[in-house]
Amino acid sequence: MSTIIIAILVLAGLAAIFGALLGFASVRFKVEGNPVVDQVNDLLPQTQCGQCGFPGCKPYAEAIADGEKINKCPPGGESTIQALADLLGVEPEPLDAEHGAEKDVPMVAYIREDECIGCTKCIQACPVDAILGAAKQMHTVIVDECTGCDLCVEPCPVDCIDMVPQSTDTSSWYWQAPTTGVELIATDRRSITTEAHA
Amino acid sequence: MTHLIQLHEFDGGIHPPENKRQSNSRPIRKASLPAELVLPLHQHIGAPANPVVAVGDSVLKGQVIAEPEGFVSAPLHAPTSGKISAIEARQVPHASGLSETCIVIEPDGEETWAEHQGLCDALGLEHCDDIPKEKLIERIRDCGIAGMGGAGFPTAVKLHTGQHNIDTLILNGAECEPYITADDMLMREHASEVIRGAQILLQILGAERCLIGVEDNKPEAIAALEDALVQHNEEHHIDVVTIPTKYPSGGEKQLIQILTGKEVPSGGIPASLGIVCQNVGTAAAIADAVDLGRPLISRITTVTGDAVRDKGNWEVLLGTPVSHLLSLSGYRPAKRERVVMGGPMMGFALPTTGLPVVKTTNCLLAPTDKELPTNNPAMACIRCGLCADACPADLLPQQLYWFSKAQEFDKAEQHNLFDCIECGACSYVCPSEIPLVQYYRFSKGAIREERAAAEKAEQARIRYEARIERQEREKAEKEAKRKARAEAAAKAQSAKKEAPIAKAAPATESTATEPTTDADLEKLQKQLSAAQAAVAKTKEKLEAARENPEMADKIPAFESALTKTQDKIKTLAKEIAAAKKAAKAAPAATGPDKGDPNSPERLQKKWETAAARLDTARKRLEDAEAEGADTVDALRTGVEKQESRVAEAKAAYEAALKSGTDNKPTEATATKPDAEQLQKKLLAQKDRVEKARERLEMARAEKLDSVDALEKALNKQLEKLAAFEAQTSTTGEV
Amino acid sequence: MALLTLSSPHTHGPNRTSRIMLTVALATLPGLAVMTWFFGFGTLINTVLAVVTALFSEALVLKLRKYPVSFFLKDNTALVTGLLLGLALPPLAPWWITVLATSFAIIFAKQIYGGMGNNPFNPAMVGYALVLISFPVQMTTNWVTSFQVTGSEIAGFSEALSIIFTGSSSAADAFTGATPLDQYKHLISKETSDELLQRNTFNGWLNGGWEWVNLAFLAGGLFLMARRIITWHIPVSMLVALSICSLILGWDEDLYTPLSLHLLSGATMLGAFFIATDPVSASTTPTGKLIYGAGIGVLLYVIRTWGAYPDAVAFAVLLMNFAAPFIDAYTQPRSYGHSKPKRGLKPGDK
Repeated sequence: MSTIIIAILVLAGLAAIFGALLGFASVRFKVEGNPVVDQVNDLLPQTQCGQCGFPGCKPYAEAIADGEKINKCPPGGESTIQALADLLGVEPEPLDAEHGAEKDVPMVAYIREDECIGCTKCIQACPVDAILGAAKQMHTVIVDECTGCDLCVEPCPVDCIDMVPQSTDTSSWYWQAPTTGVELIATDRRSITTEAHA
Repeated sequence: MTHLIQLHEFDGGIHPPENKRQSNSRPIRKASLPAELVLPLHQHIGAPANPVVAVGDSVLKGQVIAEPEGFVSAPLHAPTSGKISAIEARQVPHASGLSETCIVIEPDGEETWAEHQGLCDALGLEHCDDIPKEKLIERIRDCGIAGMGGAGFPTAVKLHTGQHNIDTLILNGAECEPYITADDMLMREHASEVIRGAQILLQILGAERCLIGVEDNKPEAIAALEDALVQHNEEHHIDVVTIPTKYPSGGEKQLIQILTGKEVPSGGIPASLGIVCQNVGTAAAIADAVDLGRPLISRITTVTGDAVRDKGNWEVLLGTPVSHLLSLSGYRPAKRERVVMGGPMMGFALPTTGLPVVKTTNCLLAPTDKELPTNNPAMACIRCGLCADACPADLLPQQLYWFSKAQEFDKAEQHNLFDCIECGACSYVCPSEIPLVQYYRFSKGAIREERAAAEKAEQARIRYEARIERQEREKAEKEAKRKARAEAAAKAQSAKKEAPIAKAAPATESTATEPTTDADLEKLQKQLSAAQAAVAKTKEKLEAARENPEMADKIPAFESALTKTQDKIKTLAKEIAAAKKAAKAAPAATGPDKGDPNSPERLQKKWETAAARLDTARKRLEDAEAEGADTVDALRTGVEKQESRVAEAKAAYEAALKSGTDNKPTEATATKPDAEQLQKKLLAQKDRVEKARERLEMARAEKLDSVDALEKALNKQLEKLAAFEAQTSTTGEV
Repeated sequence: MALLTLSSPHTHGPNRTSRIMLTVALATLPGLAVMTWFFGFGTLINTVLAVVTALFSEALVLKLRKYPVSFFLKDNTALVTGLLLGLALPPLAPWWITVLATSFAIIFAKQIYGGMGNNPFNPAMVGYALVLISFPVQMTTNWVTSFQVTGSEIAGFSEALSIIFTGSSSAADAFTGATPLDQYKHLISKETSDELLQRNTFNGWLNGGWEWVNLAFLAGGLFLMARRIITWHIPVSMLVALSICSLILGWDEDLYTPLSLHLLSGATMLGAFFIATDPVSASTTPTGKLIYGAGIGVLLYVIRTWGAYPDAVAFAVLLMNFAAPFIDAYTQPRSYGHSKPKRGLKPGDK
């Protein structure tokens, strides 16, 4: 009988000690977290393209915080979905094709300036004010500010806006990771073995 | 060698076969002139230079062909006399094989030098020690000198040490990479220039001592430097220090550690330790630039490797195609052809041999496959730790490799990835032949790209939010206006009904509007001062960035921010001016004391200002005519318009005066001098009419568009003349 | 004309994984020779069997994974795994134990994790631990009492062969027995140290021939150190930790196994120089290696003294394998230009 009482007392004591410890830790090491919306918004690419069906990245971030799916952002692509999944502790899902496909290279808008009639429609469409111009004046894109969201292409009445891939120059270029022997898949095997013996 | 220098050792390092004998056994030869010289505008770290010549221009040897763009940049000079045959994008010597703008010169073979002279003579100084350091730095910048050891950082920028007090100058003659002997041969044959360069650098930096670090595998170079030291009588300030041969002792950070025992802080610059490090080749180029006025147009390049028959060093003009230099050296393309620009440890393989020699090309290595076999396919990392033992920066290369491979970039960064100097020692010792350096380069590039993307996203977010805010504000304003209008309408309605109250309303309104404009003005002024403070801050930051080469990449961002705020200030200033005007105009319009806008005083003022404007317009026209600018016509019509305006103003004034005199006939005594004045005016008016007529004739003869306007002007002048005549007759009668 | 463009460096030193592994294999040969001399051909037969099994299993899995077989077999890592297992197993262990341990080591402990370089645990020790736990009797009784010590006869080549492959226990009983470590541990509570040493296993000699085996492995280890294939950190810290534990906790020879027996018996030297130093699964930073080695030393003493098994190199190494990545993360060296080393894996602290 006494052994049972001792066991109960010991366990209760342990429970009390650890409970106090946990309580102390939760107060002492309290993390003042960003509100989830801001954290989600920080992960989104801020192209403000609206492909997700929301009028911008912040609205989508708010929607995600309210339980919207995380796979509706084509500019962010798989990496953003992964990051969002990590943040929110949910399973990453493949990109929802309904909202568009992920682009391989970043694009920027380019206005063929001699065709521009100065209607200002693209200026109104641009979510980040990256188009410069005035009524009946030629417009131009501030390349550094353009997020490549495509939103200006549609409203242009004379179709003078092209999306061109952002070019790499010698200062933005960098080596890609090498593909090495062990990582090679079966079809590439022949080439490495011949290389090795050449 | 008067001082005993305590040498220190850096951790890690390797001892690859030196392979220097092949190329340092014969003196430097001068490479012949190639058929064309290709000069990339971006041969240095920083912004590309800006071409100042056009296709078809003839240039002289040493003439500036591209100016620096911004602070961290360097100009470019024609390496020989000839014609600019193209300015176009061509493949440049870079690991990417990408194209960038190049100036192409077709040499005329004359080698005619542009005028140049030593800085001492140019300044007319007797003692060259008196040259102020700003002038020296300016000369170094103007001569396009960029680090010749391999990185190509603009030397003048490095010499702006800012608030750092420099006590030690280190000249890097270690040349630790296998195969390369360019610095070795330079020190042997141009030791005097190297020492002279050191003197100049000491003068600029105000440093007390100079250490020239040379690896002990170059005894001839050390002896030559010692001799030159005695010649220059500099044994007391400059020490040639023999350091043990070990790769990469020629790395800037490693050499500083060997010679001083200090470590350059991560992310910092040597200047923070009071040290400036320059390559010996740079020192020699500085001596040439300052003493002879020769810009950087040639350099010494080692051509070596078993695929060339005739290994050795060449003095070669910048822009010379690699293929030209290789063919001079008897190049036989071998199986698995490779040409490396730089050394075998850190150089990069060229995609083609058509690329030019640039400021940083210290070596062209054309190895056979037998000599430097390409790596076997990499095997897995067995974490043997040989790389960590070899790393001169005390990193954990194998950990960095795992993180890079898994693209866990934050962990790689946490393991000090950015302290990697890419020396290649880890790859050299790796038993699994893993291209480790390539992994690190990939990671660094990806991290930089990620950072840039994050920065851009942040900027986009701010712009987006600002836009939303603006749209909302506009909407609110519109709404407010609509409301105000509706209210005003309602008020007007009620005012109509209650007439007595209506009288008071405008008074209160006017008093109500004034303070708001004042408040607006204050607000604008506050914004202006805030913007000015911001400009000052950005300028400071920009200065700091310019001093610190690590932050060089941020300079453009700062500059753009600066111009943006400056623009803002301008618009603000304009707004303030407008607001002030409005503020002035408001009381002027309401104030009754300024009174009648048609009073003679005001009209006279108007007339006078119009006349003054006319004068300036005429002057401008004359200038334009003298220069034969195409704006002449426009200016002429402008002048004519102005003339008519003057005439109108005058007429109005006269009319007012007249009405005034009409109204005040009692002041007859005052009219007498008026009569005289009128007489004068009449004569002047006649002159004017004559002139107007002449001009009209001219315009007609030339069939200008302004004929109509001129006709009108003439008519007006005639009218005025008539008016004057009438006036004088009346006053004469009086 | 497209030239070869590869990232620098364009030259490579003489180090090769295959050569390193071959050197390790060579360094075990003195130990193998001495074991064969003292314990008969059983060790040699089992070692050869283990190596053959290792190479075969490796080839099989590479084939299944559609990897080039000869390219990867030539890295000699399977050879070393087989060799170390062969040396660690009892000389007269039945063939199926050897085959099971080796194939498990290669297939499950190495290839399943992605092959060479990706295994978190030392494959040889995983294989060893498997058979030790599953077949404790075979693993503890098939040791040979050295005839050089006792003067009695030892199994010849054919006898060893038949014991290993047919398992004729009657023949085996004549030669086999427990190791000195095992006997000392179990009998010291009943006898004094002096009485114990009169037993057949020891026959007056403290270590019953094992001291020579360990000295041979020590020699091989020193050779590896001289060739800069292993560093001093792990072996020294492991042996020092073991010694300290033994001196402080087990100073009484009549109660605990003495230090000399700890150091020079069982798999101590093989473990210190060949098993604990397996770079793939060990800690890699200089400080980390010291901690890792010391951990193995302490665990080795603890399990040998208070655990159920007479020897514990396998368990000690495997337990420390768990800790190696963690140790590495917290023992980064101070990099050039930093005032203090970084700790952990958390990004951000610059």
